[in-house]
Amino acid sequence: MPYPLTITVTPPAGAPAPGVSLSLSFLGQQQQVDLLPDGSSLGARLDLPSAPRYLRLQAHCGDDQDAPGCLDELVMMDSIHQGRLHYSLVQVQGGSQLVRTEGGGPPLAASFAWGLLMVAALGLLWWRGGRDASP
Amino acid sequence: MVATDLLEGATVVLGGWGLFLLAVAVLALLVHRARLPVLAVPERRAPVTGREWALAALACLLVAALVTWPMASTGALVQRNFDGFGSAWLLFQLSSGRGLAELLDTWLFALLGAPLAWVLGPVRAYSTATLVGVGSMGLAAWWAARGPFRLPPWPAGIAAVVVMANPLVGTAITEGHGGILVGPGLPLLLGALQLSPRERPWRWALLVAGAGLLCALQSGYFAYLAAGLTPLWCAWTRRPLWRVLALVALPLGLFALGTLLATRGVNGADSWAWYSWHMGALPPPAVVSLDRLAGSPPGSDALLHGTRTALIFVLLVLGVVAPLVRGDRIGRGLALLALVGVLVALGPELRLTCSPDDSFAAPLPFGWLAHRLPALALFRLPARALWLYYLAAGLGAARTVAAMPRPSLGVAAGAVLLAELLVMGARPWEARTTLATVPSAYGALEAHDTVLDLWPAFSAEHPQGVELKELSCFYQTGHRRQLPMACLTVQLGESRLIALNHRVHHALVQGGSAPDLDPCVTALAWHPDSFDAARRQPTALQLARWWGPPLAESTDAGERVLVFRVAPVSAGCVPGPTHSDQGATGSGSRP
Repeated sequence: MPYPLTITVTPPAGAPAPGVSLSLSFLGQQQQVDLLPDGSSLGARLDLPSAPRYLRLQAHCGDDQDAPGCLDELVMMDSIHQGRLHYSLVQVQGGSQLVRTEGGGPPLAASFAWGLLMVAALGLLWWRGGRDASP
Repeated sequence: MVATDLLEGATVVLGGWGLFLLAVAVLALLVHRARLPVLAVPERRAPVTGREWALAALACLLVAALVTWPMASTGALVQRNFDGFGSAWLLFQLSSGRGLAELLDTWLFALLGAPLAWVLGPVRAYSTATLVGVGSMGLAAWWAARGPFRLPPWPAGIAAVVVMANPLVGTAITEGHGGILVGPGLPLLLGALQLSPRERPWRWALLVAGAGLLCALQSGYFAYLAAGLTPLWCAWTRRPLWRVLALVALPLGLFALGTLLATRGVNGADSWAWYSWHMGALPPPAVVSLDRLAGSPPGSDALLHGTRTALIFVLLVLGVVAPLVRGDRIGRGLALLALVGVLVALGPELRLTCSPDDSFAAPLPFGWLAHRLPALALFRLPARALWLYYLAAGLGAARTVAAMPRPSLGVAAGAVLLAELLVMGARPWEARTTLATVPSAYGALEAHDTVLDLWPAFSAEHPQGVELKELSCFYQTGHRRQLPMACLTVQLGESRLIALNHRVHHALVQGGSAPDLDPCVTALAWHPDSFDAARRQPTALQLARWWGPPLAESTDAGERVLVFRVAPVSAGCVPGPTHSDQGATGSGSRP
């Protein structure tokens, strides 16, 4: 069964989106993927022949694992959320580097607003309960 | 820099347990000032009918299916990052057909999982046992609330759902800690303790002892929780304490006996692992953050985390603060029990780290007790005491809802709590599954083969090391030995997998003769996809030069695997302790 996989890379804010080339290894195969600019981000959608156990992702890595732009990561399939892999391109001294980021999810403010709403709802219930029960 | 450190320190304190304890104090003050009436639970009017039991069982099964989704509907392992060594261990036992003897400390997996594994295979058996385990946990909580605590059916359901769908359950499922999920013992024990011993004392004593045994047969943690819960609740409710203390000795004694049998008896390698699992040398965490109470947040899913935080407050108000301030004696007892669970879960000390060289640690009750009672050190993850928190707070919340002055308010408050739990509070409903197939290349091996999996070199500290170790364990479930892999050890640093893996890598770099592996190792499974692209071809050539062409090759389980025969199978080779670090010198597994 084909396994669709989307890889996106978010470039630094305000910076131009350069192309990023990744090398994927899976199921005994190797595939070169060019992540091309799509609006403000880079991305590629792949249809792998079947679900991989893991992917080996490599980009611009020689012997120096700390070289700018280098990515060398073993990504377990079950750590891929809904077939999406997110990376951020962060600026480092002398270049830029890909960093794995968790994608999706609302901002923190929404989280706390939701939390406050739940607590407020309960507080209201308590207040009503106390008022109704008072003589 | 100082300001940053201070801010970080304040975040640790305020964002963690300081906030929790502060919240208890503030909410208690608010509830006290609200001058609410005393929360007295109306007496139960009618006995529990068979129809009610059937409905409760069905509802619990449905909630359990929801919480464990999609375990029941798929043949895949539902976990994230395959990081649950608990499940790897259970799968190994279920696959190898050892069943009853070595699954005895997770009794539901032994009684239900082992027979099912013959029919459904290990993965589906694991999922089914987990589903039934979570459901039975809820049904036991429902019985405790409905029967001994005399609550009406609807609030009793709240207690069941809190026990079944709290974030600890979600975390355990996500991390694959199957053994600690199957926990009807603890709610059964609290319910049994709450029953009156006067009418039929022997029946009461048997019920308490039986529930304690179930706790002990589930996990060492629950043996300890049972041993703590029993005297506490008996003292609070003025039950016959000394008689009960004798009963407490039973689960603890069984646990000790089981440990003795495991270390002396059945099967050397696995028994050591069993011992390691229970008595593992991992120190208790110094600091337990608020996240522990809410379960491990997956990544940075802010909404989920925020909701879990809200859940803490909702449950806190209904289950702890309200009973503590306005409750009757039973309500206050449950609230105190919940707080005891939290205090234990805090760990031995509260550590405030401003910088690596400058930390401040304040002793906490568990640390003080563990210092005087060394046996408590075996309760190596105090955060597990939160199971007690969720049970007591769930029952407390159910009593609060049942005692609300207007029934509609009770329904509304219960609905808020249940919505929190069911919609967002439990495990993240992510489509993250683990391939549950073992590469067919492993099928070419004999049952007595001992396989070394060759992964890229990784350190014990690397989080991916744990995943690769678990994957190796899972792949080797079809074999009778797993010895050099230390599949079941808690501490990866002691795993001989790493030592042997590094030895092969060293030999590959040197390019000389074949490495001197553990004498029990008869095969090597190479995972080329995981290697650096530039190193695959040279590695393939070197392995073939050492051990000839691969015995088998497959690409059918999500990766390419090549299996090499490195030595003839020797039936007389006896494995050493799986958690030993002697493998680094090659002497640990000699007969």
